Amino acid sequence: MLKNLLIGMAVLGFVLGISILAMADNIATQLVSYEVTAINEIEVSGDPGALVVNSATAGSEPTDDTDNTTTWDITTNGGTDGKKLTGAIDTDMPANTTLEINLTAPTGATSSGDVTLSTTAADAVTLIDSVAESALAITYTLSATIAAGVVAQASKTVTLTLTDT
Amino acid sequence: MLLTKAEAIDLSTTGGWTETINEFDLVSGAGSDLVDTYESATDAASMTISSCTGDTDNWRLDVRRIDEGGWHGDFTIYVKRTSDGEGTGSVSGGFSYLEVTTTDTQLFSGAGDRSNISIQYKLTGMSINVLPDTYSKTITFTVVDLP
Repeated sequence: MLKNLLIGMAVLGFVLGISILAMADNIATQLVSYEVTAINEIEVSGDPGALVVNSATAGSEPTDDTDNTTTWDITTNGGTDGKKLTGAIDTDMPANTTLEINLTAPTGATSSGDVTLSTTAADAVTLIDSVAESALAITYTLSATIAAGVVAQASKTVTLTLTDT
Repeated sequence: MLLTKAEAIDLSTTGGWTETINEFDLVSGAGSDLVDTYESATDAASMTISSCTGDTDNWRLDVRRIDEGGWHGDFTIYVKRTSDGEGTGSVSGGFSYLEVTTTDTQLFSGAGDRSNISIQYKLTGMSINVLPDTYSKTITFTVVDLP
C-alpha cells in the first residue's frame, strides 16, 4: 500500500514537472488598441437663393418667400439622443421681418419645424442619435409685415452648430 | 530527458497595434459613415521562435483572443503572417488573414528557430455606431511543439 502510494506520488510529480516546464515561454501576448474619437461633422450644400418679399394679396400681409434649394449632411457618433443642432444669425433681422429655418431631421431625431433665427442660438433639430445621413432638406422662409416698410437688400450668415444635448 | 525536451521551444513577440479613428476616416466627409476596415502596418508585430532542438523540430503557432472588457461587439480582428523571418529553420502558411476567435487556431507552422516573422492585423466592423472610446484586445500567440 505504502509502496503504491509512493509510486503514485512519484508519477504525479513527474507529470507535474513536465507540465510546468512545458508551459515555459511558449506563450506571448500582444495588445491591439483602437481609439475612436468624437466625430461631429455637418456640412451644407451651399447658399440659398435670395429671398425677396415683394407681393401681397390685397387685404393681407405680404406673401412670404421661401427657398428649399439647399441641403445639409451630418455624421456623428454621439450616441442615442446625444446631440442637437442649433441655428443662429450673425445680426438680428430688421424690425418686422422674420427669417425662419426648417431642417429635415435625420433618422431618429426630431425637427423643431420652422425656427425663427436670431443672434441667440435656437434648437432646430434635437434628439440626434449616432447617424450618417446626407441631402437633408433646408427650407428658409422670409416674412415681413407691412410695418417693415421697404427694407434694403442685406445678407445674413446662418451658423448651424452641432452640440451636446 | 523528458524534462529537457518539454522545455524546448520559446516564443517572443515585439510590437502591437494602436489605431486612432477620427473624422478623417469618414468615407466621404459629413453625411457618410466611417470606413469599415483598417489594417496595421505589414510589420506591426514580430515573432521569434527559438530554443528548438534542431531544424527538424516541428512546431505550430496558434492564435486566439482574450475576451474581456473594453471591446466592441461589432469588431472582428484578423491576423496574418507577412514575412518568413530569418533563421535556419523553416516556416509555412499563414499568409491569408485568419479571424482571431476565442479558440486557439493555427496561424502558421514551421520547424527550427525563426526570428523576426512579421505579423499584420486587420480590424473590420467600424461604423458611426461605435461610441467614442478606447477599445483594446489581448491577442495570445502560443507555439506548440509538435511530435
